[in-house]
Amino acid sequence: MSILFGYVKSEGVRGIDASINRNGGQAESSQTKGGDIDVSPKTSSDQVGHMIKDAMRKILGDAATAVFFKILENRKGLTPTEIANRPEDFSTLLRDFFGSGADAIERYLILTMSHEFGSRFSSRSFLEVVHEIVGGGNESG
Amino acid sequence: MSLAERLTDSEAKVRILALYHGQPDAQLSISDLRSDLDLPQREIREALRDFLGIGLLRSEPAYFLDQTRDGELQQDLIREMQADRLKSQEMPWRKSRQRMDIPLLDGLVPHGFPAPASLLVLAEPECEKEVLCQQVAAAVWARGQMVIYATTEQDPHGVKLAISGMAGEGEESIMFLDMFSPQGEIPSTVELSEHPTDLTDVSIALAKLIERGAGLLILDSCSTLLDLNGADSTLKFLTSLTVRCMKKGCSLLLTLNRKAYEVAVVSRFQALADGIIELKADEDVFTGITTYLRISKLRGTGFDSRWIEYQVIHGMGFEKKEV
Repeated sequence: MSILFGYVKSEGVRGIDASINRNGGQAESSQTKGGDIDVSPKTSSDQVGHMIKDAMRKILGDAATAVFFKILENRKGLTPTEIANRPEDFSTLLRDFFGSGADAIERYLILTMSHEFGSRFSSRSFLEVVHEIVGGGNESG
Repeated sequence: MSLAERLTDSEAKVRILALYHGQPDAQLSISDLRSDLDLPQREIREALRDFLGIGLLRSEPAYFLDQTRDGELQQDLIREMQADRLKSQEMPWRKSRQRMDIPLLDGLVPHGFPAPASLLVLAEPECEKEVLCQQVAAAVWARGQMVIYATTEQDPHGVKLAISGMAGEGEESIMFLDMFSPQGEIPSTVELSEHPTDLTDVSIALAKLIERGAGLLILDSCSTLLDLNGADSTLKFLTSLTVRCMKKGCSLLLTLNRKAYEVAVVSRFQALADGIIELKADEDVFTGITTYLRISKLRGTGFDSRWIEYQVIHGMGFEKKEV
């Protein structure tokens, strides 16, 4: 089962290489000949969730991130691995807490995903990017 | 603006946070940051200025993360998020939420004050609680709502002038009950006056004013009523007044000297109020008096309970003091 995203391989985002935690990411995806990405649906959902949590940890620090995700779970019933399936709920809570800061956080998350998936999503919204990653996976499954 | 928003309100801030949290010991020059972040220089400089301002970053010899301050800010952020959780416990009978239009207070209650509500200002004498009352009166009046101002410690004329100074013309929308002048047996400068020992007459006078559709009743200060009538009578009067106000959709702002009474008495007042605003003053030989405000209770919405240092600007009121 493979998904051909068809995105142009990113050259990486300067300044983000040092701050991205790649744990669990590279082993789950592989680049095909044409620069396309091969990601299974389960892997991409899990991967997106963990990637978002890691990125949030980078922004907020460990303690505040733990509380944020606890509240996310209590209020929205959302664990990190489920974010990819319900990114709207995650985005709503971001806006509740961070107000206008939610936009900047989402842009950072998009950069992180672009870097991790080797693709350019910069002109898309956070919700579009997540839906595309996960939705694309479901279509091919 | 909340701390969460302040920390993340630009892409440069988010990227800088991520950069330093990824490498907590990094020491980066401005050109390193410009090169790493690939963002407009102006945006980077603004982010750095703000982070230096709150002590998150230090700048000598290069920009580095103050990890102790970072830990403190994370704890503040956690408190802010936990306070925000309380908003889901909103009380169904509340009609609405309102901003006070006083940045110092609104900054502590990001989703607005429940309305109507009874708020108790517990203050030390040096804290100028009367200025806060006048500022709230001016803000409510500026929204086009009628205000009842019952004063026991100040001549209404002086209060009127102070509110006019904050709100401009139009203090006619503020109705005074003068309980100050009768204590000195001097003629009142306003239409309504009652002696604070005549709680029945005070109650009747206030009831008539509330019926006229006021949005806020200020009683400054309950300490006078307590001194003259004792705790039981005063609390009975205030309970009745609170019920009457809530039924009519009129919020209530009460004040009390927080140092003058036994803890048990103050606790009874605290239990009566929906919200408590505390004012305290610290004295230091070198720096003089420093005043602080915090919200220690607010039913029905989330709030930040930290002590905030404030200053009183004459003609304007309470303002957060930038440290």
